[in-house]
Amino acid sequence: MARSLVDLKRKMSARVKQIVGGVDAREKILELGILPGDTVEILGKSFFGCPVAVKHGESNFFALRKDHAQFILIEDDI
Amino acid sequence: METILLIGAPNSGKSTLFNLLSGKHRKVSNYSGVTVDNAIGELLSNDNNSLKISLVDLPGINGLNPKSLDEGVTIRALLGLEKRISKYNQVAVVLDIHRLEASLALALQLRDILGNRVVLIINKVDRAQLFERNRVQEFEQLIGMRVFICSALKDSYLKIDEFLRSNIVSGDFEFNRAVRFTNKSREYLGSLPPDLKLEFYDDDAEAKLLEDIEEYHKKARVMISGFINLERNRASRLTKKMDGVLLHPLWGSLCFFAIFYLIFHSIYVWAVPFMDLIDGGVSAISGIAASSLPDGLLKSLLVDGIFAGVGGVIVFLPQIMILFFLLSLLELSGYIGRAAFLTDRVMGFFGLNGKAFLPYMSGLACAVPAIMSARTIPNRLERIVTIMTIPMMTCSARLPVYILLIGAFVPKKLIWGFFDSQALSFFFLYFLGAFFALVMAKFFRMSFFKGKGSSFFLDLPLYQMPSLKLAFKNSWRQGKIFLRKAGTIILGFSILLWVLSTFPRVTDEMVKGKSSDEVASISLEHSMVGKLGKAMEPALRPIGMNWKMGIGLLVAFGARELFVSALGTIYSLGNVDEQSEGLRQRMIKDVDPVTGRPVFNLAVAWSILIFFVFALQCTSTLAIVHKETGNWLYPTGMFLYMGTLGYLGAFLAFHFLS
Repeated sequence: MARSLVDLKRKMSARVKQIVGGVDAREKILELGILPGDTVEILGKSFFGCPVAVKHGESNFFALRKDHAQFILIEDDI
Repeated sequence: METILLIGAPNSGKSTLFNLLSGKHRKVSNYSGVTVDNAIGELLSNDNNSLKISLVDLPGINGLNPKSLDEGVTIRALLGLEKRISKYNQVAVVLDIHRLEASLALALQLRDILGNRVVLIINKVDRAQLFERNRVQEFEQLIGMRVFICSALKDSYLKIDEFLRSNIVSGDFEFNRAVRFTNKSREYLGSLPPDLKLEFYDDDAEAKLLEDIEEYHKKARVMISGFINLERNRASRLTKKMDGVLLHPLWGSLCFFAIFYLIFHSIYVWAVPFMDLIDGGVSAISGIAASSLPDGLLKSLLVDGIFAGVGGVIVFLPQIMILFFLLSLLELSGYIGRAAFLTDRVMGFFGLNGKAFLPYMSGLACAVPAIMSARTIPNRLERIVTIMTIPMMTCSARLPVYILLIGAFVPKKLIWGFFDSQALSFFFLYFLGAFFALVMAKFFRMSFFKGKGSSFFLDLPLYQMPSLKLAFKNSWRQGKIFLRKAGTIILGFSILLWVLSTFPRVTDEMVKGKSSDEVASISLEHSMVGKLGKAMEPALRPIGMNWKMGIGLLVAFGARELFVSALGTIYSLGNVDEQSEGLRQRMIKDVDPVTGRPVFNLAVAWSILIFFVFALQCTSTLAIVHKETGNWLYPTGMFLYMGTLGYLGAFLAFHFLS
């Protein structure tokens, strides 16, 4: 099973491997400028791990619910 | 007249620029989705120029495929389908320097469709090192569009104005290529004329559309590298640090409650001296009028009708202004996005989209704009349920009623050495409204509006130091709206109510040999209002109210504040004692002629309060719900369910406490 943003803990960073899911979800994620190879960092998680707050790049902060976060797959190495 | 459209990502500063250039006062804040409809304003500089230009502010978009109704408004404007703005000469794309890449991708798509009509305004460049300003020309050549670098909050409007003017292209134009949409976009685009250059992609071809979008983002990324310098950016580092605490499930939630409690606490505590000042002023003027005018109808109209009615309401101006000042500070700082983050789990549990937090929050001011801002919620079911429950959020019109009754009947004491019992009651009423809004949302989602919701993305804007000036402006604007209401609707109703509670007049025979106190109360009961109120009494008795309060509830359906002004007039008329005594004292002293006990007590006060928490006493809300849903069923249902809750709640409160 590929690892996604959901599997990252607070304050952990990772590189985006691939964006999966339906066209709508992929389009939304893409429009925020999240591309494969980018670094994302988990800023915090709300109760029971949802939603997830993410820092992307230098100054792009946003949050998304688990059902979207699982579409952002991450590399295993970091 | 030439037209410029302001386009850009949410929270990039379009409305701030719009206000700066047109001198208008659209609501601006530091979170996404504040603007949900279009606004047209003429440039301030039109006075000194032969070229007249109007500017259009539009809701933010991240891409050209609309995913909610507010984004649909913007795309329709770009397609030339919105009324009054079917033609435009320029599209000014506003880009937030902190999110330059994503916005530039949007601008590049627009450039390929609209050609040289697209210009860029890179906003929020408040520190020089963020963008290499001396290389702007080089950047323009690279991306093929004119660029202006600014900070809409700090710069003067003249240079931005000049930039826009000098790049206006006159005449009609055609799209360079067809605009491509996913099939799903149709839901938010409305009716489309057949001759438009549009292409709709269905499921298989959509993947190609995504590849295109990805290409634009990659291109944008290459273009900006070397021009911007966001590393070691102060705002971004600070945001990360603060979010470490404020987004934490435990510490963040504690901060959340502390912040909101403090707001209500300060409304209560800070407003007192100002309120006493206004109260004293109104009473003094009313006293002068009372002692200098001869007895008669004119004096009664002025003192009992106007001063008691309108004066009773305007004492709440300080609370309203303090509430909006503090809420504006909170909004401008960027905290609201975090509050939405923390409450998302709760919203999700009750079947709502996380985006419903912002409309709920603006429901604290007034349900009408709040219901409009529900347009940002993509899913129809979630949107309707949000609209149906927003009016339970405590709007500012309820505030005068709450403060009057809590101040008079909730004994003031300290709880746990810090919490003020009155401020706590106040907080409780706000909480109760919000809580039941959620409970009803859950009920609706499980019954009439079953179905899967949509997921959500939440923008977490960078924190910024809130501008005191802007917060004060917001608060002053709300204060003005309130005063205007006092000078129009409330004044009108006060006069009407005075007429209805003065006529028909008693005959001399009816009051023969009675004391002046008795005369006053007999005349009141003999009047039209008295008769109406008496007729309502059977329905009022179970909830502990007498006919005077019933009249208050009845007129409050015109505007909630009228409850206060109606009681002001009724109590002033029923009181021969022309001492400058506030409504509060008169209510405390009111005694039931049969039992000899005070009419108001804690149980009665809470019964009224609870009624006000739930009942939908606002005709503007009903009208906007009809407009936003296009159906009379929703406002009717809303009125009935909220009224029932109000009556039941009042019944329970009265019996539980007495």
